[in-house]
Amino acid sequence: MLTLKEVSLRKGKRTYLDEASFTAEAGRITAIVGTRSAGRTELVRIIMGLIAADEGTVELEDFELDFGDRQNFGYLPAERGGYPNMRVLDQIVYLARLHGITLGAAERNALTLLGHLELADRGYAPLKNLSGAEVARVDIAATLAADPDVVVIDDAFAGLDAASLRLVTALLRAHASSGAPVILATDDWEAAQTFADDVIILSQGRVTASGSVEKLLGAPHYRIETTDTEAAASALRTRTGISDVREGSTVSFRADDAKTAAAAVAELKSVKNFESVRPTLAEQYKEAL
Amino acid sequence: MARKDNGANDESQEPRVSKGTAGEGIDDLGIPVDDDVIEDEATTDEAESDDEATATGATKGSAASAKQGTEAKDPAAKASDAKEADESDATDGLDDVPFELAEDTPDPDELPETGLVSEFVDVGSRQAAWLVSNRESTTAMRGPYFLVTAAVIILGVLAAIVSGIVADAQKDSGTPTMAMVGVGEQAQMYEQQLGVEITDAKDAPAAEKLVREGKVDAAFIQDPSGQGQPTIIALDKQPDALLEKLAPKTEATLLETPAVDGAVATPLLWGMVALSLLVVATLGTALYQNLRLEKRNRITEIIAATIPPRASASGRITGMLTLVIVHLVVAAVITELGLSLSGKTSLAFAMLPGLGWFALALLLTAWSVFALLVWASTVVGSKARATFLTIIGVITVAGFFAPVLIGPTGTVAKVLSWTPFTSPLGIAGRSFAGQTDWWEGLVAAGIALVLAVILHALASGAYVRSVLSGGGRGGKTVKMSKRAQKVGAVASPKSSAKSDSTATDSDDADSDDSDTAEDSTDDSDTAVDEESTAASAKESGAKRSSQKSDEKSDATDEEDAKSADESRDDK
Repeated sequence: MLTLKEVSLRKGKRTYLDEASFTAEAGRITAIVGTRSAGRTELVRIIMGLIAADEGTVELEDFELDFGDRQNFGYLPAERGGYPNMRVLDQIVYLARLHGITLGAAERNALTLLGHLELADRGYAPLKNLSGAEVARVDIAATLAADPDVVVIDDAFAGLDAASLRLVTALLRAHASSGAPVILATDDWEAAQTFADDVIILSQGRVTASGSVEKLLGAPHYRIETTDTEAAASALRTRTGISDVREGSTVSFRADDAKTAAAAVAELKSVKNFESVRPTLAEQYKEAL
Repeated sequence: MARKDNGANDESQEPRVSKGTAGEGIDDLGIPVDDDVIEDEATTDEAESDDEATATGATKGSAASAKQGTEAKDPAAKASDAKEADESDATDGLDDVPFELAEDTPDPDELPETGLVSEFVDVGSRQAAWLVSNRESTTAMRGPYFLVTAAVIILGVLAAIVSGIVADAQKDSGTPTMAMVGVGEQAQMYEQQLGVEITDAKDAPAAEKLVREGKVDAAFIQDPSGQGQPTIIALDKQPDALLEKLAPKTEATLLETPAVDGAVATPLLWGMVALSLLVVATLGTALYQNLRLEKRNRITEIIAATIPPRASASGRITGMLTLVIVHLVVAAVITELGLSLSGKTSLAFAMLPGLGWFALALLLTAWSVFALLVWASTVVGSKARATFLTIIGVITVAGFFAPVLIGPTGTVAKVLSWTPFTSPLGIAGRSFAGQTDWWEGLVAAGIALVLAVILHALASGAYVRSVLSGGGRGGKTVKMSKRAQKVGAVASPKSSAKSDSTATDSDDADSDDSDTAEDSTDDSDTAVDEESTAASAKESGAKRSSQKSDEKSDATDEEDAKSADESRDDK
C-alpha cells in the first residue's frame, strides 16, 4: 500500500500540487487522471523521489520513504525511449539489474515478459528496428523485469495500439494481483475507467475525487425524451426517491433504484423514450474540470 | 503490499529467492495450474465427505489433509494408504538427494501469475557504478568509433616501426665517417683497413668540432699520454654502423645523452599526440552522446530512481576510462613488441619510462576531460553547452600540442610537463630527452589526479542536481528540499508559511540552474501549459490572496517564457 499524505509542490507562485493525498492499494491498479498540467507528472516524480515535495510524505506500508528507498520500484516516465542501438534483451536485463536482481533472474524475467508481450522473436534485435508499439511494450517489460514492489508508469497508455494495450494491461493486472500497487498516470480517461480499479482525479494539483471506478461512476442516470420537459421535470421533482432532476432538451434524473425510476416515468405523459444512462468518468468529471 | 525487502538494506549477499514459472503467453495469465485446482478441490471435498477424501487421497498434499480431517477411515482409504506405503518402500535404500542438488521447483502456491522470478542481491553504489560502467564500455566497444580508433592505433604504430626500420636501413647503407687526430697521410690506409671514411683532424677539439657540426659520425681520439684507451665520441647517438667496423666493438661517449634519439623521439611524440586525440575524442564523443541520449529518452530518470545518481555518473566515467586503458595497453604492447622483434630492444627499453608516464598522465587527463563532458551534458541550453564543449575541446587539443611544439628543454617545457592537460606529452617529451628527474613523473601524475578528482566531484554534483530536479517544471533537488523540510519542521507553524515561500523562491533559483527544460516533453508541456499554468497560478494566488499580492506574477511569466525559449533552443 503506497500512501501520499498532503503532498504539496510549489515553484514561485505556481502551485503544482496542493495537499494531494491518496492511497494506492496493493493488488489494485490505480489510475491518476487529469487534464494537462494537472500535476500528474510532478506527482509521479515525487512518488519516485526524483523531486521532493515542499510538504507531505510518501509512505510505503506506513513507512515514510526517503531518497534511495525506491530501489525496487518499477518506473517508466513519460516521453520515454530506450537505447536505440542496444538489443532488446540486453536493455531489459540491464535496467532490471540496476534494481539488484541477479543476472540469471533478470534474463529469465526478460524472456518471460517478452513472451507475454509477444515479442519473444525480437529479443536480439536492436531497439531501433522495432515499431513504436513494440518499443512501448519493451518499455513495459523493462519496468516489470525486476518484479518490482511498486509500479509507477507515467503516461501509461502512450504509444500502445489496441493489441498492445490488451497485452500490457493484462500483464499489469497480473502483476498487481501478485500484491504490488500499480499506479498509472494518464490523460486517457476512457482507458483509465476500463483498466483501473481505482481512480484518482487530479485537477490543478488537487485531488478532486478518488475511489473505485464503480464508486466514482455512481448510480446510473435516467433520461426521458418528452414533448413537455418542463411538466415532466416538475412532476419528477415531487416524487420521492428521485433526485438530481435536470431539464434540457431531455430530462435526466437519478433514482434510488430502477423500479422507482420506472414507476415515476410510468406516471408521466407523452414520454417518447426512457433509458438508463451511466456517464463515463470523463463525462462526469473531465467536462466539469 | 511490498513483497520483498529492499535489497539495499539487506546486509546478506545471499540471494533471496522465490521462483516462478514462465508462462507461454499472455493468455496463460490468470489461469491456475491444474494441479493446484485438483489439490484445492480435493481438500475442500475431503472436508465435506470421507468418501470423497478417499477418492482424492492419492495426491500428496491432499493425503496430508485427509490425515487431519478424517481419522475414521474406511477400508478403501486404508487400501490407498497401503498403496502409498508400497510406493515409498520402492525408494528405500536410495539416499536422499542433498539439499544443494535438489531441484529448485517453485511452490505452486507462491507462483506469481506473471511468472517473474525474484532473486536479489545487494546493490551498493560501487556495484551500481560497475553496472553502468560495464554497459557504457560494452556499448562503446561495439561502436564503430572504438574499433576504428583501435585499428588506426595498431596500424599507425606498426607503420611507424616499419618506416623506422626502413629509414635506418637506408641510413646505414652509406659509408660511415670518422675523424682521427693526426693521422695525416695514413688516413687512406685506415680507410682501406676499416672501410670507413677518415677525416684528419689536427687535435681533439677539432675532431669534436667536426662531430658537433655533423661532418663526421664520430671521432677517434687517442689518449694524449698514450697510456689510456682511445675513445670514440659521437654527438647524440651511437654510430652503430661505424662501431660495427671497429674491433673490438667500443661504446662511444655521448656528449648529450637523450634517453631516446631525437630523430625517433620527435615523430614518436607526434604519434602520441595523434593517439591522445583519437582516444580522448572518440571515447569522449561516445560518452557525451550517450548522456544526451539518456537525457532525451528519460533513461536518466529511470536510472536515478533506481540507483544513486552519483554512482551513475561515476560509472559512465570509469567505463570510458577502462577503454582508454585498453587503447593505451594495445598501443604500448604493439610498440614494445614491434621494437623488440625488429631488433631495437635498447630503444624499446629507453622509451619505457617516457611511455609509462605518458600513459598514466593521459589516463588522468582523460578522466578530467570525461568529467568535464559529463558536466557539459547537464548544462541547460544548446548554446551554453556548445560553448562548454568548445572550451573543453580547445583545452584538450592545445594541451596535447603545446609541449611538442615548445620542445623538451627550458622552463616552459618543465612547467608544461607538470600542468594538467599538457603533462602527458610534456612529461613524455622531456623523458625522451633525458631531461626529467625520477620524481617529476609522479608530480605530474599527482597534479593531474587531484584535478581529475575535483572535476569528477563537480561533474557528479552537477549530474545529480540535473537529474534530481523538476525536469524543467516544478520541484527542487531532493537533498535541498529535505534540508528545507527539516528547517520547516523546526520553525513554528505560523512562520512556516512565510519561510516556506522564501525557501521555495531561493530553491527555485537553484533549480533553474539545473533546469532540464530541454526535454521534449517539458518543451511541449511548458509551451502548452502557459495558459493553464496562468490559470493554476491564478487559483493558487486567489487562495493565498490574503497573504500575498500578485506582485510576482510577471516575474513568473517571464521565467516561464525564458524556460520555453531555452527548451526551443535545445530542441
